[in-house]
Amino acid sequence: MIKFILRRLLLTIPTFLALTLVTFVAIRLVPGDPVEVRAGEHGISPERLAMLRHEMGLDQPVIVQYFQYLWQLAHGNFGTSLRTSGPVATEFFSLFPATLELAFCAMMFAILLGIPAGVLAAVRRGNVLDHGVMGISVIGYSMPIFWWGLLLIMFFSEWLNLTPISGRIDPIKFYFDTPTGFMLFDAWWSGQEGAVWDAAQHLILPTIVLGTVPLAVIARITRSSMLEVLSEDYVRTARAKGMSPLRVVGLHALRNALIPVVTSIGLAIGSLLAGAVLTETIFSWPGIGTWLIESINERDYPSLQGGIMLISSFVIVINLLVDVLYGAINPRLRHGR
Amino acid sequence: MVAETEAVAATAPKRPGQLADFWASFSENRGAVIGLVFVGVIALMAIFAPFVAPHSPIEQFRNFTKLPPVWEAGGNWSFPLGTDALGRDALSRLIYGARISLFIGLMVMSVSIVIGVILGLVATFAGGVVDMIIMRIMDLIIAIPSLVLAILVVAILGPSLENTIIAVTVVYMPRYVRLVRGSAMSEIGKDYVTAARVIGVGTFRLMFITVLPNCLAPLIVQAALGVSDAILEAAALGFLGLGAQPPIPEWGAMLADNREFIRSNPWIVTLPGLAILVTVVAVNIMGDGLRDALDPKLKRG
Amino acid sequence: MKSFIQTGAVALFAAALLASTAAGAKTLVYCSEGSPENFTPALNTTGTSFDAARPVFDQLTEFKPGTTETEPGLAQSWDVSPDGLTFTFHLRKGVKFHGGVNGFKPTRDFNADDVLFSFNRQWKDDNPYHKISGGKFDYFSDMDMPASLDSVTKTDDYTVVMKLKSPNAPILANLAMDFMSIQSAEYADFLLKAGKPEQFDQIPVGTGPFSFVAYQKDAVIRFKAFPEYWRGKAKIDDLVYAITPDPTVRLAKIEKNECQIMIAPRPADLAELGKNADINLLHAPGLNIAYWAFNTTKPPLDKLEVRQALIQAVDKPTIIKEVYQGAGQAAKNLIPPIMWGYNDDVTDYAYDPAKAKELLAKSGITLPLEIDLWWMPVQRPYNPNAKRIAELMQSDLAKVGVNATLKSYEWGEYRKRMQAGESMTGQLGWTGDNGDPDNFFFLFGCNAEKKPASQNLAKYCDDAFNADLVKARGLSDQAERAKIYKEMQVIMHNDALMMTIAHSVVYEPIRKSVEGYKISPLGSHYFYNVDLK
Repeated sequence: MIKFILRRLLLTIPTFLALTLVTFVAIRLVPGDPVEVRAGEHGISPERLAMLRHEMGLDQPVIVQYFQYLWQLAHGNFGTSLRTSGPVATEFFSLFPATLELAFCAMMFAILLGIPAGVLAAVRRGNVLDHGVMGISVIGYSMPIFWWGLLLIMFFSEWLNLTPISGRIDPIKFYFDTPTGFMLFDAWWSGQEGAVWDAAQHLILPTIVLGTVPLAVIARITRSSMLEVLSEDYVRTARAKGMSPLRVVGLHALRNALIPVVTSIGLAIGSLLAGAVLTETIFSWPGIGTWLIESINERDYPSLQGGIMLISSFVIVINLLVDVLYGAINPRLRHGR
Repeated sequence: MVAETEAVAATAPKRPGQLADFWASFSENRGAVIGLVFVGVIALMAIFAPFVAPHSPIEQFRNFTKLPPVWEAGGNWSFPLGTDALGRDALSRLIYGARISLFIGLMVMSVSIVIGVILGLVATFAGGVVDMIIMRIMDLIIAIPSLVLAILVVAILGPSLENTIIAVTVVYMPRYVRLVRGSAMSEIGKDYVTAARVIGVGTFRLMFITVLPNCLAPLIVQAALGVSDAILEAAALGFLGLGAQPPIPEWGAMLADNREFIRSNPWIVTLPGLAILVTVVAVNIMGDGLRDALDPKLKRG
Repeated sequence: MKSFIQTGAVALFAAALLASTAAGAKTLVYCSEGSPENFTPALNTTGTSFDAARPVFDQLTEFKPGTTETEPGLAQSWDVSPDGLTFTFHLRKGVKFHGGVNGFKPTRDFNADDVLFSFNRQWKDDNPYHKISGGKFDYFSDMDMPASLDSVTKTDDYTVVMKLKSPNAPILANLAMDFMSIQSAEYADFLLKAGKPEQFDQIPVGTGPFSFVAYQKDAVIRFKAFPEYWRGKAKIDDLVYAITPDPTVRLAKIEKNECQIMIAPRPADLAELGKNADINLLHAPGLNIAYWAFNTTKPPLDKLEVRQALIQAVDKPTIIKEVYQGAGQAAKNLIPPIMWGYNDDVTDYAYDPAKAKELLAKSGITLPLEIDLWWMPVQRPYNPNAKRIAELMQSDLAKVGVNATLKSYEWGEYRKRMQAGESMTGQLGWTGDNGDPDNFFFLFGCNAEKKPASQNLAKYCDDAFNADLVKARGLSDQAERAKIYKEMQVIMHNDALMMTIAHSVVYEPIRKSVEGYKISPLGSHYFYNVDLK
């Protein structure tokens, strides 16, 4: 087991190195000058431009810049944002909790609705309920979520005036320190009356939008995995013995049916982060997604590079964990593939 | 079917009536057939857009801007689904938009299949370092959130229809590579491959003639679902202003361009999204039907 | 550092809140558009950042609220030498800096040292703050300050002498601009000693009507009224900027009275706002221009007939109606009609496709003519939707046999490539900085080498035009200058360098409870005079 984990860990090292190279090269290929983009209609004089480029080290040969970058990375330095002159890692980690909070809530939403729906569909296989769940699920994972977001805003925020349109909390009514960056927790910690409820209200629509696709996927996987388990001999035996259907499903089948569901949840984290880019854009959610898009628009090379590095590393680590967990469950995987 | 093909494939990969079998089990699935019909209708509409659409998608009727659909007060039968801010007919733009979306979907799928098959088979048959390098690169691409990667590629190449296709292909290609490699790996150890090797079949022939046909079933399913993913991803790029450029009637871009009217003229925003949804749902249920028909294990389950 | 600021700020704010609630504090909430880059105007170029720092600072001269006229600010009066080269400023006495912000307690009043510091930081390499926070002072160089300033010295604590290299009529207006905000030299020293000079631009200290309380990125900026402000304490007690990038959200907030003043409503929502009985929809002509420039170095755009044909082929009234949706007036000159020197005698080219075809035929070029048409990827105060305008133009041009390919780049890249002369035709615009016509006409001037300057998108260098430009800059009599500017407008019209599209109308919804607020033609937001009932 330890050997397996070690091997997987070693394998990620070249991946990381390749990642630094790919992000570095790709970002240098993006046309547009990070200095130029900061000027308004006024423009910038050639002398100033040269001076600023020199200060940012942009006049060095690319290969030198790459090794400088690696050297900095080795020291845990992800560079300095061109927009705010702050360290990229600090900016990233100050925004990451917002994205994580949203992703977590979306996942919870998807799991809490998706698993029961899938089980129900499997148990009531072939009847209206099954068709309904499956139909909604197809619509769910076919959903262009940017449109879905707009529709929900239009309906709940603009017409019914039920939910706030954007942001994480009403900054005028509530004002507190955010030590963790997880708004629900910070709101509770601040002790201000109504703050938690306000933060929760801000979370509702983005959670639904981001959770829609995983919800559909989880419902489908749960259903098919449940159907498979239900047809296994031991379940049939239990049924034949006269065990109540509820006990069969709840006690025996569900536990076994959930294994593939859990793995798929782990693997869905990556696509969840991609979905977060769109969701955050629509709801002006101050997380990594909006930040990355802004960085591209403003040619903030260091932020973009650091941001992609950090978020990809996160995905790699998550995948590693899933692999290890899966390896623990399923020993056959440990030895070569 | 996996077991069946194994036995037959060594001698004769094709069996007469296979297609009929497949059709029989596909048409059993009512949803899949409905999906197929929808996809057919949308495809026909796209192909014959100039004959179906009431107007040109780029002609601006300056006296009829922001017209609502006919069922709302103030609608006009010459513009059944209303017009946009520049007075262009919404229905015609949606019909021509189907061309763009389907074209993107099909292009991405075919390019991905070609690259996926080549890289996947090369990885399988070359093994060792080559295999490792190819698969690590694929892992790398998968590790970067798909939309961020697509945006990055478009940022490098500049926004256009062609570059949208390239960007989305880059993002989705690894899935095909992994899939082909995965199924080829499980085939390569089987007797019929060993047998073919012993007879002295060349590697090239072995790759494409002997092994590939046995990896096709999952590839076809992935291809169908890949079309819908590509349509969605391209629409997302269009929504962010990084897709096809004006006046091309791309659905995602139509949505984004008219976002400001979400309060005053909601239908302008609603219709393109609905078009995307309907198309993707149709392709997806058709894809599900394909999978069920090609994979008897799931059908039984 | 961040958490330190926040914690400190929280404590401060809590104290402020306690102190003020007792007296029934008046809080004005302004729905702003974005987060500032920092709080030192000299480092910035965007209106959003200027607005964020404005409550905190004063300048030597200032714009009268709601106008482009200058009035005395921190300089109580000034003398100008007859040759127009020497300005002697007499500074206001007894002006206090904000105390207690970021642990800083001022020990002296505002004086000449602060003025010198504010000049030198931008001007002199040896100033310890010259390189802090990126050290870019774009406005200072754009307004030609390094080239025009000879020296700035103090004769005593309340007298500053500024010497110029050549006469420059607009300079008093330049000094009223945000980039010339006067910062505290003592605070700068204080932070330098504490070893954290970078906080100078994050936690601002000035002499302005409001002192800085706290800032949370992408959320909120808080200020409180400065009781010792030299003009007297503001009528409101707390000023809050609610940072709200999405115009739909801003609209919802003002409708719910969650903010009382909002920036930049979408044209599509104006009708709805106009109907709301609780809201006054203020509007004022903007000091700006949106234009479609022709690169005169690219054939066949070097032909006057072709340029005139392009202008006449495009349906300007439809652009005003469908894109500006009432929030703009058609432009016939480079400068807007509210500016002195405007030439109302110029007759605009009419929309006339037949005439356009005729002109194209006369020019001898072969049709269809292929051109490119660039559109900015961003919304600007003068142009709500360059893409939509480009699509309208494209369709109009096709009707006279001109095929326009639409092109756009990311915003920084866009300007760079256009300035490099890559485009054939393209949209851009300008927002006035100081109300002086020179601030518009210099755009189409020549540089020292008698070549078009980089921001000159027509790539046009006309001797007569440029001679006028230089001459007008050196004069101090406004009537004489106006005469020259009127001539220049005729030259521009006749040469058809661009299609002047529109001057936008700035709309700002305010709640009916707000009193004393004025829209600034310069696009800035100023809340000192505001009261809430």
